[in-house]
Amino acid sequence: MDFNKARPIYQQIIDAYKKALARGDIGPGDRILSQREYAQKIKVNPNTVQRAYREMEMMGMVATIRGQGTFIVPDPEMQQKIKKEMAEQVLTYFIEEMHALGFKDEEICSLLEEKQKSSKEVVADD
Amino acid sequence: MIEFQNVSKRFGTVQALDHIDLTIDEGKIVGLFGPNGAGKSTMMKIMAGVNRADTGTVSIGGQTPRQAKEFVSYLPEIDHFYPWWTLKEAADFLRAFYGDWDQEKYGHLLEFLKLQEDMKLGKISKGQRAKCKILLAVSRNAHYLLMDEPFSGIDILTREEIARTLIQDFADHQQTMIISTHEIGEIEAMVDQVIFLDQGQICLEGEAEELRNEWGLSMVGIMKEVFRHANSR
Amino acid sequence: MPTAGKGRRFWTLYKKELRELTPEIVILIATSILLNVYAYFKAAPLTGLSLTLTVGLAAFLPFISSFKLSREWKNQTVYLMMSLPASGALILGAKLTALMTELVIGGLAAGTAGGLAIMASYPGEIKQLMSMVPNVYSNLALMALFGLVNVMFFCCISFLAQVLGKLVRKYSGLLSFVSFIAILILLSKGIEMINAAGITHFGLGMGLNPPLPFPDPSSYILYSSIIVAIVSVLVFIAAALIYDRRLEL
Repeated sequence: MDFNKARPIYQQIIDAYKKALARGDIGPGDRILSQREYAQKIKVNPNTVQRAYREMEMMGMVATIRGQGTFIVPDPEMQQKIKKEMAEQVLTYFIEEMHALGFKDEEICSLLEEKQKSSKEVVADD
Repeated sequence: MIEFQNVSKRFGTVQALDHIDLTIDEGKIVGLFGPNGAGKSTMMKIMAGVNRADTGTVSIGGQTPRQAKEFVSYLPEIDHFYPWWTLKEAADFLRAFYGDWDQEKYGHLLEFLKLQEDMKLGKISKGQRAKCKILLAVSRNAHYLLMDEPFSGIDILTREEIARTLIQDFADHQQTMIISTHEIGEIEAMVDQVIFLDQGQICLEGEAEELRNEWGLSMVGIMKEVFRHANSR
Repeated sequence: MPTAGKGRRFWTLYKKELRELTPEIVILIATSILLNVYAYFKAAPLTGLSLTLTVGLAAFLPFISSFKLSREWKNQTVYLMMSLPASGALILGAKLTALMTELVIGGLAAGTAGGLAIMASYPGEIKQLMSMVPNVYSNLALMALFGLVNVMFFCCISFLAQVLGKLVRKYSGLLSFVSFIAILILLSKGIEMINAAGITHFGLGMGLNPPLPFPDPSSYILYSSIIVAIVSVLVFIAAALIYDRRLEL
């Protein structure tokens, strides 16, 4: 995992788990790496990993069962919620930036449609 | 806890440390950053009890550095082992002095770092020697681990191995580790606390994650900023 | 957590020092054998000289070896030694014990090889001579003790001078040299004065010579040895204190 070292690393760890969950790389009930294993794997301070895991527990994303490890909470709704939440973040950012460039909502919609069409053609050409 | 109170140290005309006040909590990995000649090694040597502060006091877990030697594992920048020693002889020597020597850990790390006990310390490559030094320093469960430029002259793959070794060790034993380096990029994700040192003074000190948050910069970026300001003073 | 005992630390340091002195010890044994064997077979009249030479070398070499202390700085191994939880007394004590071991082994090698050579060369004369000297073995032992404490004296001064030299960054070699000469002269004068008192006390002074071809000066030698030993211990303590309290990198 490559970090953007200009942002707090614990946040990036949380984001990485959220993304994996949204994409379905990991699912509800799955066991994730222990803090120790994860710290070693990505060469990050164990205290930082601990902080990320603690926050994910508080967010209700993961639960640690003594002696068994840390698991994604077996709640499909939570996965959907995170997926939505992340999409929401990306959209907010996108719309804000487009507004900042002076686009109106209708223009944004049509630009988006155009873009999606051209992307599909590129994919079809391949 | 390690405490520096108003510590100064002068070597001839060079003011190596200039009124240092600092507190390092237990169970932290601390990065001591700064350019060459900033005073990093001097701070390390004073903590290791091989140099004395001219003024001020240093306490390590409530003791003087000289009394605390038994609990401190010090890895100097230079090669401090007898060149005619084999790795095994060096390990046997250290084992006699430190009650916290962990033979099992030593055996495990020996394998992990792909070292052989019959290697002669004076006759192996620089990278191998650096690995031997790390092995011998962390084969103890010392409360305090002081490492002065542990990565200097080591290739990138070995650096990663060493970083992993240190993280594993830290996770297992919750030591207090102080790592000095002028190459921050290597370990910036590893540290809890950072201390930026320049011309014997602390320019900036704090929790790494808080500093990233406040500055919106990496440690390397923060250091550049800090030293630019320091030098234009 | 069990802490390693002082005895084990001392033994570990001593073994390391002895290993560093191994080349010298080998040289002493080899020279003793070669020189005395050569003298016996090729130049029999010179067996006395070869005995003196090899015993002298055995006494002299440990003193030269004592200057290896400074090499710890040059080799940077002083970083290791000073970071160890071991006092100056323990570290310097191990070094001194190793030097004395070198002396004893070298002395025994030279004494045995030279003694055998000289006895083989002049069997009759030696027998006669030995019968004339009273208590020949205890006197030999006394002479050995006298030699040992005097070499120890020189080694302790060498330690003190080197430690003093390391108190400064520049010209530390020069300071060591000057301190060595100064301390040696000073202490020798002091010992001479105490010895002078001893000479009078034990009736060995001028005009008080006992009318014997071989006076028995053993009491005096023992007295002098004890004086030198006490002074050596004081010098050693001074060196160990400076090592602990003042020395740094």
